[in-house]
Amino acid sequence: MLRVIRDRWTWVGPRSDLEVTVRFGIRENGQIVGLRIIRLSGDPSYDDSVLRAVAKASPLPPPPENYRKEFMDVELTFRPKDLGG
Amino acid sequence: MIGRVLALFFLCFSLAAHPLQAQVRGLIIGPGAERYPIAVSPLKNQGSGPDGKRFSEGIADTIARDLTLSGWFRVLDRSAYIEDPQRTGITLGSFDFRDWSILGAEALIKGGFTPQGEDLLVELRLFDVYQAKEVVGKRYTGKAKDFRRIAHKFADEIIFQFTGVRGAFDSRFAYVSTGGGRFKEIYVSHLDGSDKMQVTDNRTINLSPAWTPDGRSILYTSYKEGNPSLYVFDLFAGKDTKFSSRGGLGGKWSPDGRLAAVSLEREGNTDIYLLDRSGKTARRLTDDMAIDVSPSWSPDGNRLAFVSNRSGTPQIYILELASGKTRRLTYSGGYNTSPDWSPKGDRIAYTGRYGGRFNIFTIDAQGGNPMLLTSNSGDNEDASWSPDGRFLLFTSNRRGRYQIHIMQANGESQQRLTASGGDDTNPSWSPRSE
Repeated sequence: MLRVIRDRWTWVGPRSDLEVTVRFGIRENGQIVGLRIIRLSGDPSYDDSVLRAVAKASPLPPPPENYRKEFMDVELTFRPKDLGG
Repeated sequence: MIGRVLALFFLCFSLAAHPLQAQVRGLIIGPGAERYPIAVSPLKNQGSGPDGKRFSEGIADTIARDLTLSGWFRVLDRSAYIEDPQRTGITLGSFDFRDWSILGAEALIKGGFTPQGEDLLVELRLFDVYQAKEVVGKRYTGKAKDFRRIAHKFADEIIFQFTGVRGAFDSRFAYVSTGGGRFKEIYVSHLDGSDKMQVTDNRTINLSPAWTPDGRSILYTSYKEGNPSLYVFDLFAGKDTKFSSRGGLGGKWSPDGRLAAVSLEREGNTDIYLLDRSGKTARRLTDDMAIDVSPSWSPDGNRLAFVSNRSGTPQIYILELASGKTRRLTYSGGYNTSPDWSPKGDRIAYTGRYGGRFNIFTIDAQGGNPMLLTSNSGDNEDASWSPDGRFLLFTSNRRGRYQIHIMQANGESQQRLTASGGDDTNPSWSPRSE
């Protein structure tokens, strides 16, 4: 699931200290619901790139049967990578 | 693969026990493999005459090529663009971002140009499509025939906006090409292959081009008078002068441009010497029975990396100029040559034999942490750093003939630059243009 979201995330930026956290639920069919940012990075463009990545990843593979309740409340934190220079 | 860098990301997951926290938490570091999707619109003709796509598409093509070569961007195919750049504006509010977001463009470049006699006025803007805002706008004036340089400058500006460090595409590179024949001549070109210029034309062998720090001249080795000697070609004046009357193989200018480190053969032995600007010997740097060649300066001008076979096989050594002390840098592999010191000073790129082929490595200038950047792709040799230290040029025969390639300094995004039909070798990246 993380890989699916990460593969849909595109971002190139000068700062490697940005961090944004989103919260959402994953339904039985993998559909992402209630997506919202719970910690802003301070860079709206960065926040936006993360929201787009999660939204584009819907529907995700259905969560494991024994953890359906847990996966209705997911928190994900995104950090960029250092581009050098 | 030894020391091959791992992609800089990891994924992890945990289930929370605390009731106020989310049930499932995760961390994602670094975006996925996909490159940043950007659209580069052809420019709007803001003059009165016809354009015939020369500037409109020529400038857009040049920016698109630079962004693609950087490895950070995926330029969306122009055939899918919806809006007509000649019928929309280039400022915020005069076009519809939805025409671009629907294509998946996350950034957009638009611009306009006005021919004024022999000059060209160009205005270029970078937009964030989803934020629907302008990130940066620039105006340039130049000779119309130099329109590609304006495009390179703006590509460097875009890279600055995205990465915090200006790009290095408004620069050139020198290289050696057989051009299909048996002679080796020196050429200079922009990275996108435009404005290619033949520097030598003496139908012999010319090697090891190296730039003066001001980017004005090229120091090279030529056999045009029989024995190899060093020459300087002034690119602006078009003037060629002999630099060292006493022979010489492969030289590099010091960062302050006052001295050249060269290898000279004297009494049957090749050592490294410092020559002043008139080509006279200022100082002999190595004095041993081994062959010492291929000097490369540290960016502070205090040290030289060079190749010596004093241990029995060619290896890279570091010489501290003030103390004259020498230490060996490379220990793995029995053949390590062609050092090039990074402009940041932290790493040295070199050619090493690995897996039976030549490959490009970088290593800490202090020694240790060698990193293999090429593998399973023929022979890869002669690395040359970009002035911003984030890219390397090198030559590779992965497609048959040797051709100049570019890659990011971590080995990612390897792309071909030249296809002369002959063998293209010995790339040397110019300093930044001012």
